[in-house]
Parts: sequence; structure tokens; C-alpha cells
Amino acid sequence: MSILGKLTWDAIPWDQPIPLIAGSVVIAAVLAVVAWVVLTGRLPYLWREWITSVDHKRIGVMYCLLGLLMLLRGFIDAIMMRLQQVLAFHAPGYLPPEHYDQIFSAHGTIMIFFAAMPLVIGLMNFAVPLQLGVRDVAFPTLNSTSLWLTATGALLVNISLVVGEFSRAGWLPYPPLSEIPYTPGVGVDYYLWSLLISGVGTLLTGINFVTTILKTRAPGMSYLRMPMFCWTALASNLLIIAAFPILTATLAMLALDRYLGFHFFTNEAGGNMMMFINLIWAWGHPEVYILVLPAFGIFSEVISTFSGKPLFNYRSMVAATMGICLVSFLVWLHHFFTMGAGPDVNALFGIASAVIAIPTGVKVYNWLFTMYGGRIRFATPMMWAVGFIVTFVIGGMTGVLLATVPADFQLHNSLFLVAHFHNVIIASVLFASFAGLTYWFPKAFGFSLDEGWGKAAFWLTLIGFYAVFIPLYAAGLLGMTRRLQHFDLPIWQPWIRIAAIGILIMGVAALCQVAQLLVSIRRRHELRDMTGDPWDGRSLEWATASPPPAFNFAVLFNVRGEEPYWTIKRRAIAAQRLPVEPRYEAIEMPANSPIGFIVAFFATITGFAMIWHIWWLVGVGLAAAYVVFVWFAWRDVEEYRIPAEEVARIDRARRQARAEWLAELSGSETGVSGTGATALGLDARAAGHGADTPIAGDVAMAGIYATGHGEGGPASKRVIVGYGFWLFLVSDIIMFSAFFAAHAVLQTATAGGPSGRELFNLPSIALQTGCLLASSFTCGLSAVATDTKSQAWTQLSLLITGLLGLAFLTLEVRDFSAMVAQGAEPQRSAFLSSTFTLVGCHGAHVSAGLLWLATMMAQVFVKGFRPNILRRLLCFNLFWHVLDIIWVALFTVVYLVGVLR
Amino acid sequence: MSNENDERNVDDVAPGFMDSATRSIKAGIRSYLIGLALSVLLTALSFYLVGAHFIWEPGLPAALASLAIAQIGVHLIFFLHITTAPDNTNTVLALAFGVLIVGLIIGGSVWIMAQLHDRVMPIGPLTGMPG
Repeated sequence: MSILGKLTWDAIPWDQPIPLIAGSVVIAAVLAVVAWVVLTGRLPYLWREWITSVDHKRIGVMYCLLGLLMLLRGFIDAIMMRLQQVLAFHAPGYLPPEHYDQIFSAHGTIMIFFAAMPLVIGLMNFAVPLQLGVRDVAFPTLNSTSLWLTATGALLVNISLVVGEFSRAGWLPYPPLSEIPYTPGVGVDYYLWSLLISGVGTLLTGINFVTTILKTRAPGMSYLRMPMFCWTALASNLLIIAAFPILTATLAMLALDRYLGFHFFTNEAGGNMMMFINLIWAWGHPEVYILVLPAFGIFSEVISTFSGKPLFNYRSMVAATMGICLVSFLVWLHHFFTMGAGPDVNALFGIASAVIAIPTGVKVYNWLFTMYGGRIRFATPMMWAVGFIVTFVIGGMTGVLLATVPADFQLHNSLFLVAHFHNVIIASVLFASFAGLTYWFPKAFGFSLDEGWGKAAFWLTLIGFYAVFIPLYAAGLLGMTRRLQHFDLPIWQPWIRIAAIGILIMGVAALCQVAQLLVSIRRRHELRDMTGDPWDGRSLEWATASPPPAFNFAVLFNVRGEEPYWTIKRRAIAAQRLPVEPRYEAIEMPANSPIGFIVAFFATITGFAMIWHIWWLVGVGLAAAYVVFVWFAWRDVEEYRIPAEEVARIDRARRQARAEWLAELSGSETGVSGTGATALGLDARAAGHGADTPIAGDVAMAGIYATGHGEGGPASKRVIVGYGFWLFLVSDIIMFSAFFAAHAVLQTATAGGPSGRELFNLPSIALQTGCLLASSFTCGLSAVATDTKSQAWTQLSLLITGLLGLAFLTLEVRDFSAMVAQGAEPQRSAFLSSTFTLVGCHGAHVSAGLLWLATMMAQVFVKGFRPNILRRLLCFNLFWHVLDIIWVALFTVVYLVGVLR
Repeated sequence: MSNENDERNVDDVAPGFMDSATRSIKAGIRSYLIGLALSVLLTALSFYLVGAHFIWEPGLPAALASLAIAQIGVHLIFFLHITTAPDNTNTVLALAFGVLIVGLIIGGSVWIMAQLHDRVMPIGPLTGMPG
């Protein structure tokens, strides 16, 4: 094996002009941008203000930028596919099959993971903390790490364009096609490592946002006062916590098959490829709702704002959101109705799939009733929203059709299905992203996007969309299957031609989007948003300046109802004055950190080394990751302080702009119709509090700001950290459950090899269990010792915990070495593969725990009981006890029940 | 950012964090001792049941599962200090959500795969599965 593993010069496709030219152009463009940044001296700025930024707004912007770039890449793939099918009627077309297969695999992978996800997560990043009225997310540095790990995944997929190849096994690599015998190249490995790495980033985002929404809201913002987008973000991130661990576990199993010759999903030795399809869709269907729920949230905000009305039936909207969140975990089998399950299984999942249309229908009616009777302004975001409602309903209805099992048997794997899921995903996620980008763009950058180009882009996208996908529905009904590289049936040809025209229209729409951005940047002075409230908004993000200062809000609001900003604004207009200037205090904000970027750098190296089997480089990457972890754990300064005068200066500028706006408003309105307030639809009593009664105004404006006494608000750091870590542990348990499920299915698949009865050494297992239980006890004692701030007792109990953990590991390794020595290695059968993996995953957790423990003991020794170290001790305690809980399930299921067979 | 030692939100504690009423050293140690004793007892019972012909053979997996669930409960209460108090609501809800998902994944997978096994898997020595 050479020092570069499988990597040779032949990895670059010298004989294939299309990827070579495309790759060269991309590399040239990237180099040109880098050169421009360096030569103009912008690199320090970029590093300081963006790459190392932990500001949720900047991270959100970078996510959106990544999403838009990848959207363009995925769209180019789409154009290539449509072009191929047009040319490939009774002809080979211009793309050979192996290249065409890579294109459709890359299209799906990129669009879901690196276009849709970053756009949705980017908008959540930008808007959720602002809407909650707080200054940042729960874990700002983790947020930056999530971003860069996602970027790592996108980078790896794009590297595959020129170095090696991408997967040819579809956007979900179904085995046995994706196993080594059928796909020996690096394509599937590129897929696996880019998703394993970016999946970690996404999971961290989920944990971060659930903690943010549940634990850090403005004072007085109870759950039922949160804007709809925050609710949908909560549901979406709960689904991330629940679903992404399953993806990680499933892809890890496929990777074990490919790298170490395990038999989870292979044709041989009892492997079960249907288990992959089952598990991947247990992630895959919730993933649809991870994308679509925030889209619903964006439309709720947009429709309410541009209709000038509160969201109709807010509470039913909340219930519908959470209902979809739950039911979305009960429908995954509808992706493989045809695989052969019985009528009872198919019926249950079919009904659940149809049932999900009910809460979705509730939402559609709520949006319609929000618009009904409203004073609708058809700005670009609202155009996208109306286009969404019409288009999405069509996609939803074809979805209910596909949920009918007998219909699905006919339509499965056809272009009808392709048209259906593009219909729902484009109409919801893509339209919502464009709506959200246009809606929040002025908030992010301080100027609005050009309306003319925006509307042109909308109409062309809408027309182009129908021109592409209605013909695909038709071709699907005529029996055309998906992923055809060429075809011979003339009745499909007209539909494929219309679809090709459609995608050209969408291409023009994409150009309009680019033009919109360029024109808006040129016209930014005319389009400037002076007040911070360009759309007459209703939620708290519009209360601050555009762009918001780093700290978002100079003083946190005291929320006293739904639509807090709308109330504040109405009262200010009624009283014709701003609230009394609050008392400004210094603000502590999280300091920028390069940690996310560095972690992603080493993750990229490790991922690339894994793909090409460069084992020494994998070792370097992992060692570097540990060093970075320790270095990060050792930092002292986590926050910087913005002095009160600086806060006051910034906020006074905002108040000045607001005051001018208010004066202008009351001046013009009074001139036309007597009192401005009545013209704005306020009741006469409120309008009575004019400028001449300042005292009444003061009363009306009192209590808007939080005073910091007994009003709730963001939880203490200990609670935030503890809860976030708890969520991580829940996700970890869910990941284990995927391994448990695989073990449950494969435990009888011994393929003629040894079974548990012959292999397991119960006395040793009992001893291992004893070690772990005792270590949980001493770990608990360390928590008591920490409470008393006793260095000696803390260290002693942690040391015993570590030694017991080490004893457990030693016994476990000894047992497994003995099994391998008997010829019961994991490559022997699916049963042994799943046993080794399940137990090994727990063992890997214990090992990681021991490394963590050693690091932390050193920290406690050097730094003593600082608050941040106390928080880590708390997390370690949780981690260690949960490992024990997993072990209880594990020894019962694997060993005790295992020897009964 | 909120103050380090600020426990202003009385209705909110970190998971695994004993409330002030039981935070004394004695009470802390007692909780862990009870937890250890109960979990050792339940573990010993599980291992004993497998060897001894004490329980009707086909009922054994169910008995073992019950003991495991009981032991997990012991760990949650005495080691992780999960309570039903209002300050634990979010912690318990997150756990309940996780348990629901775990149940759906394992239960759903086993149900679906058992049907597939009965209906489409080849029977015989190829997979080593009992026909």
C-alpha cells in the first residue's frame, strides 16, 4: 500500500472532458476569489469578522451563502440531466451512464444536504434569536463548528468532481449496489464521509436550537407567545435530534461493511439489505419535515406581516406543527411499500401518511384565513408565499395519492414520484428560502432587495416549475421510470421536451436572482432601511436596527403578549413617542473563536484520508482533533465586554431614526385625516393619548423593557449547558437504538457460525457490569465532593471512576479478543457484525469518556472549581451515568437474552 | 449573558442536579448508595435468572426486560436525579421524546423486518435463518 493509499494520478478523470473542464473552471474561480481577497488585504477582515465569527447573524448569512452556492451546483446537475434525457431518445446522449449516475446521485445529495439544509438552518440562525428577543444562541462556538462541518461535507462532495468520482448509487446509497462487490470505487465513500461529517454539524445545530428556544427566551416570552417561525424551528430541531443519529448509525454500518468487511447489508453471511432501506428512511422521512416545517414558519411570518393581520388561529398552528412533528416519525415505510411487507404494516403506514395531510391542511386554511380580510401587500416575499400555497396543495394531493398503497404499487419509482417530491420540496423549501431571504435581507444588510427583479424571478420560477414538473407527472403516469439514462418510447418524448424548456425558464429565473442581488447592491443607498422595520413587521427582530448590532438588543424586552413588537409599535404611535430611554448596562458577548474552522479543517483531512485509505493521515487528523479539544477546553476568556457607553451610543442612533420616523408618520397622517392614530386603525381611546399628554404616554410605554427582577428570561449558564448536554445524550441513545434495532433483526443471522450461547462468557460480563455500576457510584460521589469544593475527594473519586472504567474496558477487550481467536470475528456473520458494532460503540464511548476524564482531572487540578469547570463536571456525570444505562440495556439484550438462543 | 451563579429561575434546574433540599453531603451520598445497592441487586437477579431454572423458559426474555427497565429507572432516579417536579419538566420531556423515538425505531424495525422475513427472505441455509 502506497503512502497515499488508493490515491494516484489516475484519480483525476483526464479522459472525461466535462468534469475536467467544470472542475478547472471552479478551481480557477475559487483561486481568483482567494487571490482577490488576499491581494486587496481583506483576509484579516474575513478571518476576524466572518470565519471565526460566533455571531448567529453572521453564521446565518454564511449558511445561506453556502446554501445558495450549492443550490446553483445542484441546479446545474438538474440542467445536465434534463438535457441528457432530451438528447437520449433513441440515442446515447452526451453523458455516459456512469457519469449520468453520478450526476443524479450528486444532484439529490447536494440539494438536500448542502442546499436546502444550509438555507433553512441559515434562516433559523439569523432569525430565531432575534425573534426570541435574545442576544445569541445557547452555544455560539458550537454554532460556528456546525457551520464549518457542514461546509466540510459540501467541500468533500465537490472535491469528488475532480479527484476520483462521486457515488453512482443514488442519493440514498441502497445496498447491495453500494457495497464493495458492486461499487468498489471511492464514490460511495465520498458520499459516506461527507454526510457523516456534516451530519455531526447538523446534530449540533439541532441541540443548539432546541436549547436556545427552550432555555433562552426574552423575559416574559412564554411558549405561546413565541412567533410561529420559532415554533417550527423548535419542531424541526427536535426532529434533527431524533433523526440524524439514525442517519449517522446507518451510514456507519454501511461504512463498516465497506471498510472492514462487516455484513450488515451485504448479500452474504446473513446481511440484510432491506434493513438499510428501513433505517435510512426512518431518518429520511423526518428529514422532509426538518426542511418543510421551518418553511411553514417562514410563510406564517410572511403572510401575517404582508396581510397586516395576526396569524389566524395561532394555537391551532402550534398544535398542527407539533402534530406533524410527531406523526412524521410514523410514516417512513411509505418509501418502500413495494418491498414486501404485509397489508397490516402497509395499511398502518399508508394511513399515517394520509393523516399527516390533516394538520398540513389546517395550516393551509390558517394561512388563507390570515389573508382573508387583510390589507395584502404583494411584495416579493408575499408572492412566494401565495405561489407556495397553490403549488404546495397540488404536491400535497399527489402525496395523499401516493400514500394509497395500491396506487403506490403502480407509481413507485416512476417520474410521477419524482414530480411529487419536487413539487412539495421546491414549493415549500425553495420558495420559503427565497421568501425568507427577501424578507430578512434588509434586516441582515440594512437595505432591501430590488422588487422588480425579485418579482421577475418569482414568476419565471413559478412558470418554469410547472413547465418542468407537470410533464414529469404525465410521463410518470405513462410509465416512465426515474433515473433513465436513455429511452426509446416515443410517447414520453414530448413531455421530456417540455420539461427541458421548463428548466431553461428556471435557468433564466436563476439569472434574475443573481441580477436582483447585483442591482440591489448597486442601488443600496436608495433601498436603505433606515428604521429597522421595512415591512411593518410584528415580531421582535424588527424592533432592532438594520443591520442589528452585535448584541441584537441594547436592553432585553419584557414580553407581555403575542406579537410583542407590534404592541410596542402601536403604543409608540398612539403615544407619539418612543419608550423612555432605558438604563444601559455593559453587555458581555461570546468572543470569536477559530475553533470551528480548525475542527472542520481537520475533519476535512480525516474525511479525505478515510476516502482514499490514507491511514497515517487519518491518525494525524484524529490526534489533531483531540489536541484541538484540549486546547479549546483550556481557554480562559470566553466573552468580551461591550461598555455601557458604547451600547448607549449605538442604541441612541437607533432611537434617533425611530423618533424621526415617528415624527414623520404622525406629521403626514395628522395632516390628512386628523389624528394619525385613527388613520392607522387604532381605537379612539388609544388615539386620545396624544403628544400633549406625555404622562399618559409614559404609562402606556412603561414596562416594555426587562428590569431583571422576577421576569424569567434566559436561564443560567449551568442550566443551559446541562440541558444542551442532556439533549446530546438523548440523541446518543437514539443512535444506539439504531444499532439495537440492527442487532434485533440480525441476531439470528449466524450464517452457520457460532451463536451467542457458544460465545458469551457470562461471569466476565457480570464482572464488567460490576465495574461499571461501581464507577457510576464513584462518579456520583465526585459530584458530591465537587459540591463541597474538596479537591482531594473530587480527584480521588474521579480517579477510581477512571480506573474502574479502565478495568471494564480491559475485560471487554479480553473477551472480544478471545472470540476473535475462536474464529468468531465480526466478518464471520451478520450476527457477529452487529454484536461487535453495538458493544464496540459502547466501548468507544467509554474510551472517549476516559480521555475526557483524564483531561478534566488535569483541569480541575490546575484551575480549581471555576464555574465553567463545574459545568463540565456536571456534563461528565450525566455522560457516565447514561453510559451505564445503555450498558444495562446492552447486557440484557445482547448477552442475557443472547445466551438463551 | 446571564450570571454564572445566578439561579434566578427557580423553576429550572440542570439535569442531574439535585435541588437544594437534598444537596447536603449526607443526602447526596445516601442517594448514590441506594442507587448502587438497588442496581447491583437487580443486575444480580438478572444474571441469576438466566442460569437458574426459576422462571418458565419462554417467559424469561420478558422477565429480563422488566428487570432491565426497572434498573434503568433506578439509575434515572438515584444517579441522574430525574424527578417529576416542575423544574424537571423539560428534562423529562426530552427524555420521553427520546424514549418514544427509540421505541418507534426498534419496535417499527422489528415489526417491519419480521414481516419481510416471513414474506420475502429466502428460506434455508443461505441466510442461516430458521425457516
